[in-house]
Amino acid sequence: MKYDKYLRHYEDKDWRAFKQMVQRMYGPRYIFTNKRFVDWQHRHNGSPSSLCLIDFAGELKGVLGSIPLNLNFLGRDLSAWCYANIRVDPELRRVGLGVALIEFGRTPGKLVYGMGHSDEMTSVYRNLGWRSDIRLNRYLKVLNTANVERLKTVDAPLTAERKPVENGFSQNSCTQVHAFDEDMDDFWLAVRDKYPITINRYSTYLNWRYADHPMIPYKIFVHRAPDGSIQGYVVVRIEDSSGYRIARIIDFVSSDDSELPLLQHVTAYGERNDVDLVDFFFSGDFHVSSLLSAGFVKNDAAGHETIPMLFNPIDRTRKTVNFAYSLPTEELRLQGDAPYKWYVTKGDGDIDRPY
Amino acid sequence: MAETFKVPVESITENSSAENIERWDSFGFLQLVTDLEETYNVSFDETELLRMSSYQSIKAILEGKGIEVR
Repeated sequence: MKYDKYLRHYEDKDWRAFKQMVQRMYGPRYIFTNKRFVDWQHRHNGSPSSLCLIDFAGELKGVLGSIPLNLNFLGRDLSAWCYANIRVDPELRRVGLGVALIEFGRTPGKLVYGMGHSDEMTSVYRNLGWRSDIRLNRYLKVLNTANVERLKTVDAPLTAERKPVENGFSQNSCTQVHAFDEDMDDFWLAVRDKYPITINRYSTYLNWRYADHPMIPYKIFVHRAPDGSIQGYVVVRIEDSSGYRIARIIDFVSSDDSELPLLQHVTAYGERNDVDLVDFFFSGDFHVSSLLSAGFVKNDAAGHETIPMLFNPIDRTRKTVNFAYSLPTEELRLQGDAPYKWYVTKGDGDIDRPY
Repeated sequence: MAETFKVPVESITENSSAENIERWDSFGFLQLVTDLEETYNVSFDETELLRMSSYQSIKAILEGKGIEVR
């Protein structure tokens, strides 16, 4: 590519200039100004080269941050990349350096996907041949109606909660854990066929992503069968922003029977801890029946659709989380070009943060 | 330029720019630079790339390299 001379990987010596670029392009307090976070997400993720830079006329002018992942792709393991963060100086976007950066950051032959990007980036991905017309679902459960009513911008009621359906497992079997052990690997192997295309949730990945996160104290709840075997888990982040307390379900993987107890447990936890609202972003139709049984409502319902997704500060301009993927071979396209097969959540990229 | 952006030659005028040529987006620009470099055996530096925002500016840059542009 003509622009290769302007593109390179991040090195340790770049930190000072990198931070200055981030402050200039994103703002003074953006998460990429925190070296612990950058090192965790892009230096200690199993790949030495997951930050790509535009170095133009002696100045850093753009960044692509990606995360190496191992996917369950219809029953087989497949290494892939998630494009978690991309920003390019507008002047250089015009001359095609954003496109060049996306191509530069890509390992030939590897599946790549992106989340949380702008609508403008959706068009760029489409022009590069990606499937880019996908948006994550959002399901919400209002716990404090009086408080959440103030967030609406339309005069429509918040839909009444459905009465939960009881099932065989009690939510009392849910416990909070602070790390994932090897039992999680057995659970994942047992349940992964339920999620045709998704990140392999082995304990190594889950510990890196959630238990060992350098800044966010995630709540991890596990549901066990009477014999003690893991049947599901849910990862939640409690966010206090703009006078609201929101419980964000960031990741949720479960056997069918444990879906409802886990969701009920999150709800009960939220009620005990003065949470106003629980929400969950994900692709596909996974867990929908249990979400509805647990009193969650899709955000296209009257009254719920104007509840903002960003609270720090409240931002009503962003209404969805965009999702796009690129399958590099005809074989992968034939098998995997079907959004309903993909299960991604806010945990996949780096969009889960309150700042 | 007409070939790159797939428009009739007569539609390219002194006033042509990214503002009035539909395919002149970031992808189109990347292709235009590639085509110009291959056609005229030239290369563009950073300053020139940022100045290349219209037919007139591109023509001026090419003429600065001793290339006659029709």
